Amino acid sequence: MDPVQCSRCGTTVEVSKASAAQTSIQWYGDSSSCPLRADLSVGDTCPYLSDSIRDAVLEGRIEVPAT
Amino acid sequence: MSEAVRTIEAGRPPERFARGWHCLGLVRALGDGQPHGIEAFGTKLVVWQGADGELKVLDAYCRHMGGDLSQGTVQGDNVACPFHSWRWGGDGKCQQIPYARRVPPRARTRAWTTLVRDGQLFVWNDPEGNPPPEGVTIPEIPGYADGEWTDWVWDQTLVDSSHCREIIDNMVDMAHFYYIHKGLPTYFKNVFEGHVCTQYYAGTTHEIAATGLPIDIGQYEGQQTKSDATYWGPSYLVDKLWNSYGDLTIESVLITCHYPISSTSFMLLYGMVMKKLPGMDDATNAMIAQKMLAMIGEGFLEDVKIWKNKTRIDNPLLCEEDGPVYQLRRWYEQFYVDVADITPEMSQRFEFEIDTTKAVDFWQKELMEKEAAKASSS
Repeated sequence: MDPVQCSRCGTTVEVSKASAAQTSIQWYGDSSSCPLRADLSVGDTCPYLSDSIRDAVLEGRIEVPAT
Repeated sequence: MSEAVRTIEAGRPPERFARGWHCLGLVRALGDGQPHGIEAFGTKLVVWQGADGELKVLDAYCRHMGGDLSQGTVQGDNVACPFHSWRWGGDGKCQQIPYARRVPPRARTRAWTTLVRDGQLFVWNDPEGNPPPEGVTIPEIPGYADGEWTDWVWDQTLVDSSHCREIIDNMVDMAHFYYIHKGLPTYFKNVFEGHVCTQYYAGTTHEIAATGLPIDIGQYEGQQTKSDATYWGPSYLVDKLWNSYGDLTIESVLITCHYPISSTSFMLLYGMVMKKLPGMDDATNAMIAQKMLAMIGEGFLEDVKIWKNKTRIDNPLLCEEDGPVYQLRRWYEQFYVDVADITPEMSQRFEFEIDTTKAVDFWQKELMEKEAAKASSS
């Protein structure tokens, strides 16, 4: 897994991708470090974190195996 | 080079029972003024409604000579043992022995902490004997008290050859929805955090896929079935469901819950409330809900058939299209250890979204071929 820092709140999570559409995100510590977390439902991924992960993929910081 | 054969590690089911709230059934069934016996948590419980209107739960076996209180009678607020009529209160204290001048000071049995929520009765189980922590509770269904939903339709089935981990595994098991439940998942995501575990599911049906219509892959919105399902603790799953039939969308809340009976058996309970459809009377709405629940019940029987014949497996062999079984079990483990032994790994947030592209593509082709074979043979 590779670290990704959220561009909005600075929280760092670990991310891995088995394909373009598959994503695993492991948080460490308390997720309340994300200011949006309390207002999102538990199953929602923070949209800013999603953007940061997308950017990390585009910049090659996360490896995505070719399908 | 030798090719190593994968060996199944069956492991052993835990001896203890999960810490958490467990639903025992509906208030309307248990609150009829009679004592009810429920085999659970390796013993038997007695549930009754006192004259004060409160539901009470005690160990069923009388601490006097072992009589079964659930075979007794309700006397005022208390339950009377059928053997010698010792009267037990909901707080676990013996209140009266009709033939004795006084009650022995140590006449106290195990009283279970209860919770009534939206017409359901819950008990708190904790092997360490602690009360439920702040914030560990069962959520209310918005609008339930205002009559926006039908009354409960409810059923249960005994699963007598499996540990309840089998039903928990379903939370991450994307492919079984196709093979066991005639669904076709197009979107599938899990999140574990603290004591809750969520599954987002969206999909279409076998019938629609068989027509060859293009299917949106990886989309949650706009699918025929959408489901947002959360375990609040180890045993109580609240599944918000939206089923669309053309322009009509039926919204319902499906409860799938269980209480353990022994380490290899559990009672599976399932019930539903449906958002009342405008323009239909209560009886019609209730009938639709009952039909939907009956179909869901048939689906559970298919699960049970698998569980009855499968082996316990602690080391499942997974492919990339399977969900996060190991992370799910890591989350589930927190309910089987002392609170002091819960590790950060068990409760830290984890998110996992499956790539359904290959699965949907394969399943749709398979369904279309079946449909074509059916058409050419008729």
